[in-house]
Amino acid sequence: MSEHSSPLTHAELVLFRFIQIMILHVAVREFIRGLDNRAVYMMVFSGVITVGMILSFWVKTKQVLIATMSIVSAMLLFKLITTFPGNSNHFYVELFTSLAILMVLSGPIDEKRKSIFRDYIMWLIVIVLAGSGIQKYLAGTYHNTAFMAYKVFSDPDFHDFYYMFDPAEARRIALQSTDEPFAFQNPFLRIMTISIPAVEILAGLLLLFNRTRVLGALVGIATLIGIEYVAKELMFGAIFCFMMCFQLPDRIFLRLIPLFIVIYILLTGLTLFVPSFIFN
Amino acid sequence: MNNRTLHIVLASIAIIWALWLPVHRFLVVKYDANPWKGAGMAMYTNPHSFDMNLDFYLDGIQIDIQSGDFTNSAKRDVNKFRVFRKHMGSMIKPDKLAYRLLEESRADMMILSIQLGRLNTGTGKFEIERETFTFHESNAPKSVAAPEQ
Repeated sequence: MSEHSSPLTHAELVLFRFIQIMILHVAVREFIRGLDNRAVYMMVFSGVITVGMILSFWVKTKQVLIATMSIVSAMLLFKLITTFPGNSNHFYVELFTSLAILMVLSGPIDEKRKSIFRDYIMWLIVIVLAGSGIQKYLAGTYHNTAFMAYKVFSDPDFHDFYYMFDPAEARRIALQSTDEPFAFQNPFLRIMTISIPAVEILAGLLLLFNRTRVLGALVGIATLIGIEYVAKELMFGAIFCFMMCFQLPDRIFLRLIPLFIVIYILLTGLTLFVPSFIFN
Repeated sequence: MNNRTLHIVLASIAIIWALWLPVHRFLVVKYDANPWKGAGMAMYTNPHSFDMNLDFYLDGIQIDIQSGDFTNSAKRDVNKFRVFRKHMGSMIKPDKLAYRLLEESRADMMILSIQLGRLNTGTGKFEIERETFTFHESNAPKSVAAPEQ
């Protein structure tokens, strides 16, 4: 039996699926950016790694994934240098994940290796979730609701979201002068805003323990869906949601793979056919 | 890479990143670094509205100098300074750029003004802080201001 037709072990299957969706994410993101900036080279890059990703479903060896992830990592490192210090925080999640994948692929894949990588992804999620929650409290703009009230004033997406809960309050803030303090008066909106960082920290903490990891992933996914509904950072939302699904039991994670393929196809379709729908 | 080495390397990346967050917070507070950038996970904490203007003077009178009056290299330096200053705050000093621009222009004085808009955490008001830097050609370091022979 030739090597490329040999069946994958369970650990290989799980890790390969994670890597394939990671490549798909970068491919779709670069395709969308290439389209926005009319940058042909980005779309060519997207096409090349998409071919690598598709090929990896047939040729069941890690060599195809190593080659494709090497291209992805090289591109991300190039981007780090050329756009520093304006790189988004989300970019670093992709970079640290891609580099880790290359390291994981550098040796034989077994259950132990899969477990090390899964723990690493869990720590990245904890840093992002709990870290951003703590930063929000330290910044001092959540206990007084100033930041969210300012977003309602300055960002139509945030205005529309808060309008659903209290139209009068959202209208009042939208019409206020910049000289006045930004704050919600509605107690429900105040509690909702103040609790955002708490939920982020809670989801991060729940992920830390084996017993509560699945609950943490579910709380994190729910929080993320809520945040991205307003912030519309759908590309980050998709990959971060996927990383949290990686914390679920393998059989559930593997069943969710087609869903993420559909999500990325939908995001590409939205860009191509509904240009008025803007997202990051 | 064996599993033990992999474990150590990946754990190191995660630990270094976790330790970076308080350092990033310090840079935001101390140097007005951009909370939205720099892997500090402090996005959605405070707006960071940045703007900067360059005004040129000759014998005390403001003169009109367009970006086309500068070499492409100087224009690139202005854009680079704008980006780095926006994201890294006062860690990036304007002196070198300022004397370079004075050298290339007919002006003898330049005022760089930087506006940073963000929420005052005490009052909840959106405030714009202005910082101005004045540079005179006569104060330029000799290595920069001296005309090329």
